[in-house]
Amino acid sequence: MKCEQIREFLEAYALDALEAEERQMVEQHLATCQECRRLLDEYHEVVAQLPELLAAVTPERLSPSVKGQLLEKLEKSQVPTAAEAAERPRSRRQSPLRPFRSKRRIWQLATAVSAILLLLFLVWNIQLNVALARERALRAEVADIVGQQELVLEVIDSEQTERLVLMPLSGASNAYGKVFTRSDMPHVVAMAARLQRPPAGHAYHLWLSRGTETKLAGVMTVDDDGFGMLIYEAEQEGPTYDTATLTLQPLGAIEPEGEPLLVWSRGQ
Amino acid sequence: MIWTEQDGQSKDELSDETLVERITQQDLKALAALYDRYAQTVYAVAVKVIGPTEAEDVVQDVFLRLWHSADQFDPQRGTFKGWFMRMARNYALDQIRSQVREQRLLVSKRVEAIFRQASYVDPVDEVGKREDRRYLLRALCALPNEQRLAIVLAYFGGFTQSAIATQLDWPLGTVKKRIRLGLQKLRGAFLLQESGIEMPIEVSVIGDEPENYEV
Repeated sequence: MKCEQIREFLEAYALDALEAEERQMVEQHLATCQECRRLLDEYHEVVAQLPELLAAVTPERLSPSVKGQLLEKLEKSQVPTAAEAAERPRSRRQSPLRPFRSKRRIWQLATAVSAILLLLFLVWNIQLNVALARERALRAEVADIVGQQELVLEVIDSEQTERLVLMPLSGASNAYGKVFTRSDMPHVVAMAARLQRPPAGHAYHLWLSRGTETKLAGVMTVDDDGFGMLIYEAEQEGPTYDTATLTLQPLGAIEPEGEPLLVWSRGQ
Repeated sequence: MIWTEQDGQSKDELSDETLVERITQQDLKALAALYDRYAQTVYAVAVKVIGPTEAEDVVQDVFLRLWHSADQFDPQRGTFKGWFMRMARNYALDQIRSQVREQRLLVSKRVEAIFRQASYVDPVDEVGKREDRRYLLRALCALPNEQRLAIVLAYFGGFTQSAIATQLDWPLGTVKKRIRLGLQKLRGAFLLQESGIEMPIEVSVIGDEPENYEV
């Protein structure tokens, strides 16, 4: 490929906006062309400024506590460098070769104790990481839902919106739900109110059926007020259904089971 | 490790490249120095692209990555800033890759709008005081809207040119042209800025060629 042709791709390459094949083609040329490489490096430098330009017009400020937390985490995880390891007294390495029995037993005991301590530390570390991961997943879910507000508004509030109301089967419950679809969008927005907090390992599952086909639209997360929402992207615009049911099932369910809490069916 | 007199320059004067090399020697103070230089920037990208709830975690994760992958930086292949910003941006985009395209489009449009409106506000240069980025910022704000939108979608939205064409309903050729022209103008402003030529801000606004206005 000639330089002139490759140059037409450099700006997009620097922005990471090329398809895989185009990228490969450019990289092949760059491997042997200094001039194009130099020009691309300039574009890379320009593009590298974009985050700071955004920061210059972003009023939100990073909390100062984050730095301390980060450094603390790193201090705890620091491994000795090669230099420090080399400085350790040589005698320790020689001890397994020593003939004296008592020294040997002390060495074995010390190894056993440190192995136990290491195991305890690992277990604690794993539990901590699991807790952190769970917290992060929860935060991500909320951020996800909050971040999709505009999409939700578009679906639920338009002239093309169809609204299905899900009612409880049992008279004792005052929970209810709504499913919104639009004839010109593939997204389905479902909301439910006055839901009880699900027991551990269980969640509210929304099932949508058409004809003989039933699909899991998703699992609804419920907030402290008993309000839940989910967004589902169907395969086509204007998805239509015959029934919509909300069930409370163990996580990982692959089909509806048990008595549904909320139901809507066409022609009701 | 304590900064001693032997270190010569104060940590404020050490280059990014020197600091990242020290990180490969497990120098926490070097990481802290790079944190002071770039954390606010990483945060700004995270806040706008992912959202305020996750943004602090993203900042920590990115710097943790830096700590663990500092040995992968090759000064022959470009500056630390270029390498690190790419790492941070890719990490941020990975967090939102599962979002529907319309959602990522909305986010990108919001970012573009921030730049579009910023041209009326004198940008306060609190971030990374070492360089004066007024020229480049002005140039970005002064780009024709569609050029800026294409660039923002590509960089902050992670869209390829074909995806931009689909999402905005522009011909692919138009997308390519807008990306090229936009980035060429930014490069021009960047080179001016780097050359240190003192120019009044009005003259340095390069994006207003009238014949290009419809592009």
